[in-house]
Amino acid sequence: MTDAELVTRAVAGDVGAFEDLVARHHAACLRFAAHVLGDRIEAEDVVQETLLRAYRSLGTYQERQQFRPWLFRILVNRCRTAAGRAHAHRLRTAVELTPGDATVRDATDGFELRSRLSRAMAGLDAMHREAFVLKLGEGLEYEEIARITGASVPALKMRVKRARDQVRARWEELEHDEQR
Amino acid sequence: MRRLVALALASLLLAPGRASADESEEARLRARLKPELATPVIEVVRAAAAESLPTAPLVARALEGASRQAGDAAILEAVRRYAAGLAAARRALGPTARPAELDAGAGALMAGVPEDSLASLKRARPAGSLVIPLVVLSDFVARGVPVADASNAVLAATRAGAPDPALLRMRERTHERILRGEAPSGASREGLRELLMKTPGTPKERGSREPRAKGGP
Amino acid sequence: MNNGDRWDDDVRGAYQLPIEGEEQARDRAIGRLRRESAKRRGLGAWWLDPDGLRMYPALAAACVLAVLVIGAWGGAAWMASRGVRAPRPTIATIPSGSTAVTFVFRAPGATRVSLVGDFNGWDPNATPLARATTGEIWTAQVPLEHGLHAYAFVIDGQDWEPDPAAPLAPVATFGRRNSLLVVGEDQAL
Repeated sequence: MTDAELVTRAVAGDVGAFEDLVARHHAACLRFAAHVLGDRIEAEDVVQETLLRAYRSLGTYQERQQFRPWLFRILVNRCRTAAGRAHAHRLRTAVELTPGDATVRDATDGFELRSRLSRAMAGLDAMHREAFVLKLGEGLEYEEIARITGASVPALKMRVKRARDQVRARWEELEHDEQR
Repeated sequence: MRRLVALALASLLLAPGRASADESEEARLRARLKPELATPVIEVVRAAAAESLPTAPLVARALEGASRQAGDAAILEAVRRYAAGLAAARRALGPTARPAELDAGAGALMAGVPEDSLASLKRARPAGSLVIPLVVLSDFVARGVPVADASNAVLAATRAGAPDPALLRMRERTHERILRGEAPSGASREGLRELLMKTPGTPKERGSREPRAKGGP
Repeated sequence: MNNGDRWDDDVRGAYQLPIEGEEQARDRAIGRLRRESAKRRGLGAWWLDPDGLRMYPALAAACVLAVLVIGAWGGAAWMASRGVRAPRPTIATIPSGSTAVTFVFRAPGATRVSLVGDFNGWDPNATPLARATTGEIWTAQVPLEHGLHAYAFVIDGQDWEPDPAAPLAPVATFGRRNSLLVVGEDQAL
């Protein structure tokens, strides 16, 4: 069943259909929120809020739209609100994405790479994070990112380039430090 | 006779209405406990009253024990320990500590939190109530956060001027993390970090500010 | 493949790694949605504010969800709940120096639930909770003096349970830990 078909059923009152949509898209939402906010716990809060809002506003979803970008638009706004709640720019570290003892180091463990990614992204502000994650993480096209974020394609390209340069520089520093 | 005088003087020092509460407390104890248990428990309660310590928590422990059908020895021991805890809490928190603070402090001390930690909390928030910080501290210890980590977290948060709702939120978030399988000590550190990030004007360097008075945002 | 492409792949790979605990988080999200939809169908939970309500699967098995609401009368209270907010009681019925506190407890399958605590001498017969329409939610409203109160719930006369959403007392005096409730603490006073 397609997302659009599930939405039609959900609008008709089939909660199970919406739960199926959640099952399909929750992981992607949580991943996005966790990387943009740098905090897994807060990410879960934001994803729940997003899903509730999506559920309440299913009536505004139009069949010709794809569901995930529609959902991500809500998610992006929720993340912006959450990020705005912080009083100051905060340096986020990998500890917030990795549970338990963050000092465990295993070079072969993919999670080590994610820890490095998270630390490399730590210096980005919310706007650049958003663009970076949607482009390099989610692999979306610029036009789609523009629809989700409301920014223009040229502005997004600039943000992605800046973010990429900054993250890459930091990533290579961290990689160098780890190999010493 | 001397005890009655001490009791009368203690009643005057306590909040209005305490004198009659003593009698009703004793009546409740005699109604619920066997005589051989009621008598020593009432002794402990009276001694606490003579020290101007709150007696309601002691009565409550005894009645709880009775309702839970605990043995007489266990009930008496619990009441004695709690009385000792209240006295220790008053040493640590000072003579102006409110009954609820002493109650909360006694629990924390009995769980192994050192008196020094309570005294430090008092210095961190000299004017406002410490009930919430002590309740959060107790909760951390109850959930397996090592005492030192729990004390550090609550003390750092209080020193940073975090208001009570923020402390409670820190408690909830730490609890969530523990439920998700994180080690309690790590969970409390993360809870503190989150709180400090959200507390306006938190200094990045330790000790660069005086503790704020209560009533902050 | 040049270095840039390979780095992009590394980043993409790192990003795509599953977030630990995602399945449990998903279950919690679905639990919350069910609550929201139950509310929309008007099934008894009219006092529930879904924006604050969470369900933990581990606790779902234990079937307890208890929430405390402390009314803000006299400028002297705070909300100490996991997020379920009850309506505020009418002020006229509250004795001065105390605050009406609504206790909410979720116990599917229970035939009776009562509240025990410092405020009622830990008497399991003193404060029974009333069952709400859904059959799973039990409530009671109790005027409490300002201060610190220990309490627990008793299910079917034998099972003593703390409130999973509330702070725990640090010492299990008689083998089981109680919950702690603070009423009327407002440091602005």
